[in-house]
Amino acid sequence: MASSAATRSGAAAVKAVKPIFSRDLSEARRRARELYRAWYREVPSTVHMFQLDITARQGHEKLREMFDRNKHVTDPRVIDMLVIKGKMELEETINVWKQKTHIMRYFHETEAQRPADFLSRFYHGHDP
Amino acid sequence: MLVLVESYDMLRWPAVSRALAGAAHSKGSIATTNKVRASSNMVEVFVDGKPVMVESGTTVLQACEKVGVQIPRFCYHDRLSVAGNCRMCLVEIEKAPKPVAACAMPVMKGWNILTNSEKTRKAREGVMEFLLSNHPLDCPICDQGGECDLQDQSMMFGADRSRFTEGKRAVEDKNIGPLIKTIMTRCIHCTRCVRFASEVAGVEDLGTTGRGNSMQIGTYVEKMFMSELSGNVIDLCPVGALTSKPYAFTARPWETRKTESIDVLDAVGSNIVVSTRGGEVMRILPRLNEDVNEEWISDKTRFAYDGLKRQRLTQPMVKDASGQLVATTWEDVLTRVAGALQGVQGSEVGAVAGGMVDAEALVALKDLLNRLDSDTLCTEEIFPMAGAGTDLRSNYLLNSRITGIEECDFLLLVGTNPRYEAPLFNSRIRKSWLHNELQVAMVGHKVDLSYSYKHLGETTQVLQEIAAGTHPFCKVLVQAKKPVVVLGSSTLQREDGAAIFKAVSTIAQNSRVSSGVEDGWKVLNVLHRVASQVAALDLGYKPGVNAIQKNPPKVLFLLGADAGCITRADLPKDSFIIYQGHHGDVGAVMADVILPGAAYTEKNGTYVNTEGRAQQTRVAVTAPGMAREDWKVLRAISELAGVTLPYDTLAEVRRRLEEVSPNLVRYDDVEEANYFKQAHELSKAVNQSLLAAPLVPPQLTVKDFYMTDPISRASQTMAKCVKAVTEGAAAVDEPSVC
Repeated sequence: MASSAATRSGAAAVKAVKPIFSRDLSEARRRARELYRAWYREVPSTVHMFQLDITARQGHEKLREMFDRNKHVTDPRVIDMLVIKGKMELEETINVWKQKTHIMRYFHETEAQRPADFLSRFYHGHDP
Repeated sequence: MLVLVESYDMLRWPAVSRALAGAAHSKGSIATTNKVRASSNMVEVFVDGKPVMVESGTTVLQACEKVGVQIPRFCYHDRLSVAGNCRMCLVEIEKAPKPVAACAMPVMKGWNILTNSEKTRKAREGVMEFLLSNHPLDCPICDQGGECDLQDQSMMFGADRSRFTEGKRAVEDKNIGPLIKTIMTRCIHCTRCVRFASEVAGVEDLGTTGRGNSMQIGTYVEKMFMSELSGNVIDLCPVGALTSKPYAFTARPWETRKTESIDVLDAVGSNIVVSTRGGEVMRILPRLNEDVNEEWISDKTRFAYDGLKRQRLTQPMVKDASGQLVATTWEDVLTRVAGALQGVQGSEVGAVAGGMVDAEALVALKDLLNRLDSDTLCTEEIFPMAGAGTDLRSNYLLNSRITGIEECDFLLLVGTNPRYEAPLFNSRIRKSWLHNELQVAMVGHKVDLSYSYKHLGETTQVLQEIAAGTHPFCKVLVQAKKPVVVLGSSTLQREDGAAIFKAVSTIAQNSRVSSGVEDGWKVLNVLHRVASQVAALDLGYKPGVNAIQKNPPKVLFLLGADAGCITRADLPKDSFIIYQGHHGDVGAVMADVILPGAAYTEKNGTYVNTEGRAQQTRVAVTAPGMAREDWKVLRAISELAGVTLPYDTLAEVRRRLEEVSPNLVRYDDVEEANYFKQAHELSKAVNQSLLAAPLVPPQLTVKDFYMTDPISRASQTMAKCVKAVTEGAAAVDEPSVC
């Protein structure tokens, strides 16, 4: 707390906090990149192992989409946490602890799309 | 909840208070007694040792409530006179020989009221034991279970074991109408219903017969309790003796969800609570609002909810080639409507708005039609446009407000029967007549109001004479210190409505000048009969269908319009009529396309009552079938017609409402109107002459009260009421389980 109070007056206002793994942003991004490479190499064998009905290319695209979702994050601790979760998912995928349905959940196939514009919502039903 | 206080040295307190009082009279040096000197009638009493300053004349019960201690009672009600016959409110006063009835005994200086002492508790247990000795074991079959005062108070204050080994007495049930179910065996003779009927409702039908064990409450002869406020005795009765017949055996209070809402069956805007269970309305109860309806609601408000389930429009419908209305999809029906609107010029489109439409739908319709180059938006109710017309708000509001009736000393009613047009307004007039010696006079057909009034005549001649100052009654009018004139909206529907308004405006202005009342006091009032009129006039709708009759459009949009002001005969041959509403009434029958809308319990709508108070209804149940909220239908039409309205959510529609008229979203507040003098000047220029026809309001007897709008017309309970009134209570078919 004292450190954060002391550094609050700085123009950049960088807080000094206890890190999870990475000490700065570049290290966190390095970890993210390593995770991406591990996942990228795992996707074809995943498709083969689980007998998925997608191509490896589609798997790679989905991987890129999932990583792009978090590209705006700047806090190293948050990046570390995301990397840890990604590693957990990777471990489960490599060891076939997951099943086909869990992998396909990334693709949201059976989720009904909620209508977004007024007219679709009107036709769909009473929406509060 | 009672406050349990450990009063150790009780003897000290009266002595201290006496010393304080003594000091007050002599020196007044102690800070607390300064108040005693400032307002000389404040008295200090102690409730369980806690000192409280009350005005002299307040009762022990009221003094305890001021501290926050609620004393149990059955017969006391703060809006009725004090009876003091249940004896449940007995509390011990320190150093008094007998416990006193808290509801009736005025406090004396220095009393220490012990609300939880040994004697008080013994008194309560004793009274409860006596009450329960003749009370039948009906809890499992009694509708009041779960909200019964007797149940709650016997759990809190009664003894835990019974000593009852005798037999109980039984009383016959009385038939007092198709609305109130009476099981008089359960009655504990608190006489709340008797006092309500005689004081608030004004019908002296209920009374007590016999004494002691053989006392019975009823009408003595086989008579119906014929009042438009009769349902309120159901709320008042602390036990299950008087319950609601339509609601009997349908639900228990703990399984219902309560939604606060507003009633739209008349223009008063009574605050209600809609109890629902499983997506249907179980019953409607009143909500406390001191300014509008106190805690009463009229019978129509309370019992017409079963009309919400019958004759409902649940599917969009289109007239096919053979002239029959066939159910279809929203896409189909909206495309047709949009096509029809796009295919005509602006001058060939018109709209009529009915009496139960919310302000959101009104503004959406106006925006839609304005974007199509049309300004022919009319309301079914006429308001004279000559003179100031609807440009000045003060012309069409109940300016004195409902609470203003309590301060006025003279009331002139013109061409209205407030008893059936606005029952809660009438009950306020009666309250003022009873307690504040209000003098009431009426110009119009003689009707049975629940109070006595001076009937001046029913011809327009009388009105002219009063306006000119030649009528003998003007002498009385001149002496009024705070006069109020109320004009019924039914008189404005006549052809000489403008002349009538001018005459009444003159009367109001003259009596205002002669009374010398201060500037803030408003004399001229208009009492509306439909809930949406004030909002429609605020938003700029043209009152009356004149504009449409003069220039019949090819496409007519009926928004809940069921009064039949415009029919097919008034329109050109191939005209296209679109009806949007919730009941299949007059308007739906003549339509080419039907758009199912939501009733007042199914939408978040803004309604402005006749005083100008904006209030909102809330969603208690969802609209049945494929019905949608009204403004959403209009927004969807606008999108398909290419003139998309700029709002997608309720908040945005309300922002648009605020843009047009900010008072529409300032809920529960009355926006006052002004410029009476200017409006009067403008009305002087009106050159119409009064017709000789007498001023007769459309609702004369109670028979006309029950079925006045699509919801109450569809209600079986209301039909039973009409039958009971015309043919007698015995003629109504009731299930024998009652």
